[in-house]
Formats: sequence, structure tokens, C-alpha cells
Amino acid sequence: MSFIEVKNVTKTYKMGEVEIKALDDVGFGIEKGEFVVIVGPSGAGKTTVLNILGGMDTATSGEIFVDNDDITKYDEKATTRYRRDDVGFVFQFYNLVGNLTALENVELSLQISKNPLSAKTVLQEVGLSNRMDNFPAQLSGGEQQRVSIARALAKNPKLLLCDEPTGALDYITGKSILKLLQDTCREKGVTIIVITHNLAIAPMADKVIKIKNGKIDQILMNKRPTPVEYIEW
Amino acid sequence: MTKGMRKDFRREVRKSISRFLSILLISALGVAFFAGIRSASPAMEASADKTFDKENMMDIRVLGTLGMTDNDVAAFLSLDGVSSAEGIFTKDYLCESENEVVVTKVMSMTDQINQVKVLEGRYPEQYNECIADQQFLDASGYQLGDTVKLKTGTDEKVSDMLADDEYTIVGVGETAYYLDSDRGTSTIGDGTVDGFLVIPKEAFVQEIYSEVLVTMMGAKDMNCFSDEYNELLNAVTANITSIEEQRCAARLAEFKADADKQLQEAKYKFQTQKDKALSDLNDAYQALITAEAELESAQLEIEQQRQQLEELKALFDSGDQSIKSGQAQIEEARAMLTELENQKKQIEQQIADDEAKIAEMQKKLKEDAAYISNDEYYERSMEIIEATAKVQYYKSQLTTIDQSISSVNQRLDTAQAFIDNFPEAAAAAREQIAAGEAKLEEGEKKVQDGQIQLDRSKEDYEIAKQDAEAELEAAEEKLQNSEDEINNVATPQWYVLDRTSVSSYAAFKGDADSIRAIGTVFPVIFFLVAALVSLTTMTRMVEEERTQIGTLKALGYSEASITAKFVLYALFSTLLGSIIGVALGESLLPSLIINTYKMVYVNLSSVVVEINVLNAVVATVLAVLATVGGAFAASHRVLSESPAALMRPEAPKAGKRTFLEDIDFIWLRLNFAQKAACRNLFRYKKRFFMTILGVAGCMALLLVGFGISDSVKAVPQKQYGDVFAYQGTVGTDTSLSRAERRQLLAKVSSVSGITDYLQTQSQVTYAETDKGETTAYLIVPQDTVKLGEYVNLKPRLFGDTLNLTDDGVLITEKFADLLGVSVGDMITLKDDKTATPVGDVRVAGIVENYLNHYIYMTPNVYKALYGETASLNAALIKTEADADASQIAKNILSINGVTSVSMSATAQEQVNTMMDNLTVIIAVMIIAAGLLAFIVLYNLNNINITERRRELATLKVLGFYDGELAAYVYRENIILTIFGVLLGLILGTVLHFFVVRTIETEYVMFGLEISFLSYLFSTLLTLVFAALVNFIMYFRLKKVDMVESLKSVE
Repeated sequence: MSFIEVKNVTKTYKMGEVEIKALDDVGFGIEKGEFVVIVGPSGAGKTTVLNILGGMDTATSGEIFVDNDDITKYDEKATTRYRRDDVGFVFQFYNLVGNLTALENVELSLQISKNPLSAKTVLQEVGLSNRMDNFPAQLSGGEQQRVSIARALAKNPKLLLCDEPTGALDYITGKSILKLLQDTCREKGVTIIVITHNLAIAPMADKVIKIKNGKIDQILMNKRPTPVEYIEW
Repeated sequence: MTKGMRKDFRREVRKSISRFLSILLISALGVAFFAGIRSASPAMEASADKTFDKENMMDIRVLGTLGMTDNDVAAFLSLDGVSSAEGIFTKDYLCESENEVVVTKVMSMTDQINQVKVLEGRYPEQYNECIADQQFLDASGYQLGDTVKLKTGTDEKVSDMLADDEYTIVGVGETAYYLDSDRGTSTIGDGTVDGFLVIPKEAFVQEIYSEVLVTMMGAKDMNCFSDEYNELLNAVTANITSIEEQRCAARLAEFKADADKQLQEAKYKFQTQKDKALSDLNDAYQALITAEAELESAQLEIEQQRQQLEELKALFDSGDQSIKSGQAQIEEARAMLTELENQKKQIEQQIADDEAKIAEMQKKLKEDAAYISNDEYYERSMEIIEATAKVQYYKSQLTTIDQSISSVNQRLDTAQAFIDNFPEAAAAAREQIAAGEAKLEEGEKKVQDGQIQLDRSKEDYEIAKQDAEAELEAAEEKLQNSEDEINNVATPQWYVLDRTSVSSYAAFKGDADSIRAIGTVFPVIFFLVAALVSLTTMTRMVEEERTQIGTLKALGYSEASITAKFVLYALFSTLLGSIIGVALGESLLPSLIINTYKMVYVNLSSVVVEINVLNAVVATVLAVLATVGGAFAASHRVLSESPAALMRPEAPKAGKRTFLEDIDFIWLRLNFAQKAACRNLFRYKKRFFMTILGVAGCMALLLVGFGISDSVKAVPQKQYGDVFAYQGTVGTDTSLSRAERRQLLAKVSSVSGITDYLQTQSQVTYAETDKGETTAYLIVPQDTVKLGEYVNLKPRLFGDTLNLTDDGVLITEKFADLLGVSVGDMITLKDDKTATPVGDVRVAGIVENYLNHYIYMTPNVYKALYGETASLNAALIKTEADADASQIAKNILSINGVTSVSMSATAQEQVNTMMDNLTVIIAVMIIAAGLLAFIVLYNLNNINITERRRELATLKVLGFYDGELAAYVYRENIILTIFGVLLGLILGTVLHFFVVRTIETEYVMFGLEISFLSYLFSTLLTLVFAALVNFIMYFRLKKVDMVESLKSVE
């Protein structure tokens, strides 16, 4: 069994009388340390996958095994514990607490972490050794995203979920963030799932999962992922 | 506004219905509270005014020192501004029921003014029928249909005033004259009037009215609490006062004439009485003398009888003697008779012998004659002749003896007869003697009794004589006194009083003023906070829609039409809320407050709750201005940015270091969460201040609510506990002499339960300085040192107990405040009636006091000031700790010459009633405070959560448990609440001071301290309110959707 095993997951939303199937019998597997990109057009259901994988939403049916545990069976508390201990999340809009400095934002997640890394070390690793005491408003978008990644990584998660991490960034900064993620994956062996609508970055992944209309369209394996530096879009 | 924008507006309202409703509700509450509480006082006044008007309550009452007459009434009726005038009689009587002696005010029924409303039964039709008030029935236990008997409680007679002393209760009534249960004080019974009886005017036998009631022309159309009314009152009072001198002079003449007539009648009556008394005495004396003479003659008679009896007895004794001698005579006579018989027999024998011898001799001689010599014959014849002579002699002797026998026999018969008759005669005599003796004894006893009777009569006569003389003397003296009195009677004086002289009116006015004072402060705070919350909500709304604003602006819409949406949104919600608020607040709150006060003012029959337009408009305009202004300002500010900037998400608020971070001492000690909380606090400044303000407002309201209760409670507690160490005051008749007064006080001090007393001169005086004026009680103790044992002469805040010296006077704190004086200043005392200046005194000290004003003065200062020695007309008394105050009061009042008794315990009870009224206010405050806390905290928390839902969602995604998330938010709330409580402590204390000073009346100083318990309760309640809101917020927090974290920044 893979590190992450998604089996026959269906998600339906009820909008009044109408039932909308956001996910329809989705299934895939992800190995430990893999860099996975989930791509698809807007409304294809990729965010729903992310939400369910991240313990922010529940599947209507199906099973999801993370490290041999079926997270769909979790109750609310266990789900929270799963988010807390196992998942790191990187948001499109960074979602830093504006009121806390870069360092403090990282520390915020460490407060509740079981097995945290040093906040300063992680910030150094994401290249922010000089900006630790700055508030988000004083940081550029890329820097904020780095803090966001540092905040996720510092928890020492089993799984790093990134929702359009470059969506709000310019091209160059986006690239540097993707590089950071790729490096993190390679160097630390963290399993990373990036969600994007940008097909161009697919080549950098070990595995590309294409979603269309709530179904798996295609799963591609890259034997040799392209380093970020060579990708252009 | 285009069609599209109108549609957008409608949808906006529908979409954000909770926000719309929230502004609406907050406005409604703010306006309701503001307009409601502020309308309560006018509504109270209007209700009272209507009640008064309905029962045609007098506007002015005029009392005269010599009473009032029909002429006065007529004079009033001719005055400008007087609508009607009517004289009434009033008098306090005692009425005994099974186990209670109640003091009742008996009033004559009026034709128009101060009408008594009959609730049950009917109006009196006979002169001996009456209406009673419920309180009289409650106190006495009598019921409709019962007959009550009145007593004066003094040495006066009921018949002096009333035609009858028994009245049948035919109706139960009430009058607006007595709104509450206070019926005033009396000089009889226990000194407190329990209820009233209304009897027909005809039941009063006198003609001098106790007072004249006056109503003013046009007064009914005015609110009797208004300035307009007061102006009219002043004008009419001036009119009445203008005829006082003339009417009083007339009254004096009338009175004197009347009194003279009465005096003459009395004198005449006295004279006839005196004559009669003297003639009675004389008659008695004559009777006495006759009785004495009779007794003497009776004695004489007895003496005669006694003598007769003695004679009779002597007679009886001699009879006895003669019987004895008679018997002896009889014996003797019988012996003599026997002897005489023997003699007779002897003689008869002799005669027989001799005659035989003679016959023999004759025979022999005849025989011998023949033979014998002549001589011898002769001789022998001679012998016969001799013998015959001898027999003849014997025979004569026999006759003599026979005679003697006959005589003896006769004597014997007489003696025998006497003896035979004697027993009968003796028995009769004995009877006669016994009867005589009995009669004598009886006579003697009669005489003896007569003597005792006479002695007694003599004694009686002496006493009667002395009594009659004393009585006559006293009557004469009384006559003299009345004559002196009539000659000395001063020109009468009027007391022209308005409705404030009616205690329940004054109390009601005070309560209405208190509610007004509260209305000036609290609703304003409440309203301000509500307005701020609405304003914040509107600002928040504008900020949320900045993208849309930018889009509209980019599309070319004018600022005005964009702004219109928000302004209209604010206007609709606030206006609607205000209308609901006005409708609810102005109807519910005043009627709630009035109805609660009706528990005390039971006779307030009308409740007038009308929409107070001014308050409604002010509240609505202020509310609308606040929210619409906020909306306008916010949209104006937002619109000043370029459309492009608007369409970009607003730059997140820059995090900032707080000043605390520079203080390592503090900052390094805080854990991460605390640091984050501190930053957040300072980041959301609006929330920071508004939360603190809201909590502080809540805390302050509670503190003031509880504090007012403390302050009012403090008045009786401190006045009768700390300040006055005595338990009562006794007033004495001013006409008594010093010696009489001393005797009177000796009697008072012997009333059981009284331990000590201090004689004082107590009078009301008028005092003024250039800063103020008021009346105060002037107390001049006989013993200035002992005063310290009766009154705690201590400044309230700093300093030791003061001594009363000739150096100046000690005055009480509020009095000093009103006059604006401090130690060393001078105050001018004036006669309280004539306002003639008496002189200036120096203030030597200011002492703690809560109720009324007092000036303490030494007798020396008094003498120097008034030119006469203080008359010591009152006494302060101390009683045993567990003594029954009303019993003592009753006992003291029953002493002749005591005119008044006021016991601290009774006064304390009255103040306690006042306390009950305040419960309403406190309840209103607590509810208001709770609402305030709830509205503010709920709204702010709501905004806070909405504003930070992204952050909160992120924290959730990061794996914060609900509890941890709540703690993250609550930590800030707790700190803000604590700040709020602290600020509220200060705010509340200051506000309490202000409010207490505002609701104080002229003669009361409330305590200014708030008790520890009140601080504690206020804090706890505030925390409970805050906790409640936070508890509710927990569910909101739980509902924050993590998906929010994925959305783009709006």
C-alpha cells in the first residue's frame, strides 16, 4: 500500500434540490517522499481533493489511508489531531497572522506541534534569516510564502499540502517558491502535494494527477522530474 | 440610484439580514432605553398631574395660626387667579379596636377640592357616617359597616369638635392627597397617623376651619411640575399673601370679639356657678346645724327617758319593799288578831263565868233572901250589882276588841289585796322597764350614729368647701388667664403652602426627579455605546464592500450614488430600529417604572404614558446621525481611494510592535500566546476601546445601581447609627414655664425604657450666606459637654470629634455645602417666619450628617445672639437598646404638655420604604447593564470573528482544537474585560458620586461610599455577562469554516 492511498472517494454537495458531485470515484496512490502535482481547470475538484486530504473536509464515501490510517474514519478531534501532527499546509494567500513577525508566525504553529523543528533553523532554511523579526506587511509576497512554508515545515509534517502556492506571486518569485518546495522534498523527504491549475509546472513533479470534472483524468509518472529552473511558463 | 443599484440594495439587505437586524436592534435598544428612561420622569409627573386633576387636588392650602373662616374663603374667591376655595376641618383622633389603638386623621368632606374617591360602599349621607381609607381598615381591623368610636387622646372632649363620637363606615375611599401610605405625624397616640376618616362637614360642631384649600384658575391645563405652573403658583401665592395682613387683622378682631363674648359668657357662667356653689355650701351648712340641733334634742329626750326609767325602777324597787313590809304587817296583824281573838275568848269566858256567878248569886239571894238579913241581902245584892257592872265592863272591853279585830281584819284585807295584786303590777312594771331600756338603747345608738354622721358630714362639708373654693379659685384664675390670653393674642399669621407641603407629593416629586437624574446619565452612556457599535458595524460593512465600491467607481458611478447604498442601509436600519425603540421604550419603560412605583404610590390612579416627542426625536436623530454619519464617513474615506486600489485587496493591517515589547521585564515573561494576545489587542484599537468602553459602561451601571442603594441605605444607618446616639426627640408645650418643663421632663424620663435625656432648645431657623440659603434646625443643648454623648460631632472625612464651644457654631456638612461655607466663615441667621435677621455666627466646625440640617450652638452664643436665654423646649432621649420605640412614643405622648415625639426607629422605617422604591431603579440598571454588556460584547465579538475568520480558519487548519482557538480569542476578551472592569470601577465611582449628588434632595445627604460588596457584585455580574457572551461566541467560533482560509482576500 502506498503512503497515501485514496480509494473510490466521492464528494457530493447538496445545493438545495440539486446534488453536485465534486468528486466522483476518485482513487490514486502517493508514495512517501513523492512530489505530486494535482492539476486541473477551475472547478475540476482539485481543491476538494486537497480539503479532504488535509482533513478540512470529509468525503461522502470512499477511503483515504494516510500512513495506513483511514482518515475518513476520524472523528472531529482525531481529524484536528491529524491536521495538527501530520499535515503542513501552504496557502495561496499565505494566511500569515499579520500581527505576528515571521518568526512568531512559525512559532505559532510550533505551539501546538508534537515534534517541532527549530523555528529559526527552518526560517534560515527557507532563506529568511534576515527577515525573521519582520511583520508580514513588511515582507514581499514571496517572502511571505516562504514564511508560510516554514510555518508548515516547522511542524515536521508527514505531508505538505500546497494550494496554488504561486498563485498570488509573480513569475520569478513563484519559481523560487517552487524550487524551495522541490528542494525540501528532495532534501528532507517530505511528501509534497501541490495543487495548481498551471499545467506548466507539472514536469517538476514525480507524479502528476490530472483531474477533470471531478474525475481522475490521467495519472502521469515522471521518471526524471525537471528541475524548476528549466521550467518556463 | 439606478435600477441595478436598487436591486443590489434590496439584495444586500436580504443577504446581510443579520447585520441589518443587528443595527436595527442595537438602535432599537439604545433608543428605547434613552427615550424610555428619559420619558419615565415626565410620564410619572403626567400621571400624578392627571390623578391630581381628576380629584381636583388643591394647588394651595392656607393655614392660619387662628384658624380660617368663611370670610377668608370669600376673600380668596375674590382674588385673581383663584378658581375655587373651600375650608376644611381636620383633627387627629384615637380609635380603639380590639387590639390596636390607631391614630386617625378625621377630615371634613369637601364639596369640590381634594375629592375623596369611594372605591367601595358609598358617600356618607348622615352626619354620623364616614369614609375610611384602606390603611385605616388595615391598621384597625374594622370593616365596611362597622362603627368606630373616636377618642381625643388628650383631656379635650370629642364633643368640642364633633357632634358625635361614633361613626359608621359606609365607604372605603382614597385620595390623591395621600398618594402613598404616609399619613403624616400626630401629637397623639404613637405619633404616627395610621389612616384617615372623612365625615360630613355637619359632623363638625365648630366654625373655624383648620385650613382653606384653594385651586388656581387654569392650573388644570398645566403640568403641576412645570415652570409654567410654578409661575402661576407664585403669582396666586402673592395674591393671597397680599390680603394676609388685612384678613389677619380682621380675624384677630373677630377672634377677640368672639373670645370676649365667650369670656363674658364664661364669666357669667362662673358667677352663677359660684353663687350656686356658695348657696349649696350654705345649704349644706344649715343642714348640718339642723342636724346637730336635732341630735342634741334627741339626746335630751333620751336623758328624760332614762330618768323616767330610773324612777320607774325605783318605784318598782319600793313596791317590792312594801310587799315585804305588808306581809310582815299581815303576819303581825294575824298575830294581833289571834291575840285579840284569844283576849275576846278570855273576856267572853269571863263574862260567861261572871254572868253565871251573878245568876247563881241572884238565885241564892232570892232563895236566901228570905232567910238572910237585909244587910246581908243588901250586901249580897251589892255584890251582884258589882259583879254585873264588872260584866258590863267586860262587855265594853269585848266591843273594843271586836272593833280592833275588825280594824285588824280590814288592814289584813288591804294588805292581802295589795299582795295579791302585786305580781300583776310587777310584771307590767318590768315590761315597761324593759321596753324603756330597749328604747333607750336604740335612742342612744341613734344618737351615736347621728354623731358619726354629723362628724362625717362636717368633714364632707369641709372638703366640699375647700374643693369648691379651690375650684372657684382655679376657675377664676383660668378666666383671668383667658382674659390675659385674649388680651395678649398676637395677630394671626398665615401659612400659604403649595403641594410640596403634602408629603406624598414631595416624595413623588423626589422620585420623579431621581428617575430624571438617572435618565440624564445612564441612557446617554447606553446610547453612546449603542451608537458606537452601530457605527462600527457600518464602517465594517463599507470596508467589506470596498471591492464592489471600487468596481462601481470604475464603472463610473458617482460617489453620491455609491455612498447612497450605505447611507440608506444605515438610515433604514437605524430609523426602523429607532421607531421600534421609541414605540417600545416609551411605552414599556415608563409604564414599568410607574407601575413599580405604584406599589408605593397606591393612590396614583392614572397612569399616563404618552410618546414623548422630544425624547423620541432626539434619540432617533442621534441614532441616525451616528450610524448614517458613520456610513457616510466610511464610504467617503473608502471612495477617496482610486478604483484600482479599491479593487486590490486591502493591504492587511501592518503588524506593529507594542510598547510592551520595549519593556523586557514584562515582555520576556509573557508566553507566546500572551504576546500574540497583546499584539492583537493593540492591533484592533477600535475593538480595544469599544470593548473596554462597553464593559466599563456595564460595570459602571452596575456599580452605580448598587452604589445608589448603598448611599441611600447609608442615610438611616449612618444618621441613626453613627451620627445620632440618641433614639428620639420630645417636644414640649412652649407655654410651659421652665419649672413645669423640668417636671414634665422628669415624667418623661420615668417612662419605662428611657435611660437618659438631654434638654435642648430646638427651633427652625433660616440661614443664608451670599452663596446660598436654606432652613436648618437650631439645637441648643443645656449641657454642651453632654451633647457629645447624644450626637457624634465629627467631620466625615478627616479630623477628631469636635467640642461645642462659645467660639462659634457647629454645622452639618450638606448645610455647609448649600451655604458654601467652610470653617471660620460667617453665616447669617434669620427668623424662619419673618426673615428678620437675628445675627451672624461663626462656623467653628462642620460635622458629618445625612438627614436634615443642624446648627449646634451653646446657650451662651444663643443668649448673645437672640438676647434671651434658650427656652429648652425639647429633649433628646436615649432608650434601652431593645426598647419598643412605638410603645415609648405612645407613653411619652400620653404625658400632658408633650407636643411631639419622634423616634429614630420610626424615621428609619420610613427611609426603608424609600429603599424599596430604589429596588426598581437598581433592577432597571442591572437589566440595562446586562443588555449593554451583551449588545456590545456580542457585536464586537461578532465583528472580531468575522474580521478575523481567515486567521481563525488558518489556525484551525494548522490544527488548533476548538478550545485552543477559543482560548486564543478569549485571552484577548478576558484582558479587555479586565481593563473594562478596571475602567468601569473608576467610571462607576465617579458617576455614582455625580448621580448621588444629583438625586439628593435639599435636606438629605446620601452616603458617598460604595460598599465592598457592591464592587464585588458589580465585578462578578460584569464577568458573568462577559462570560455569557463568550460562551455564546464559542459556537460561532466552532462554525468558522476552514475553507475560508483558501479564499482570496476580499
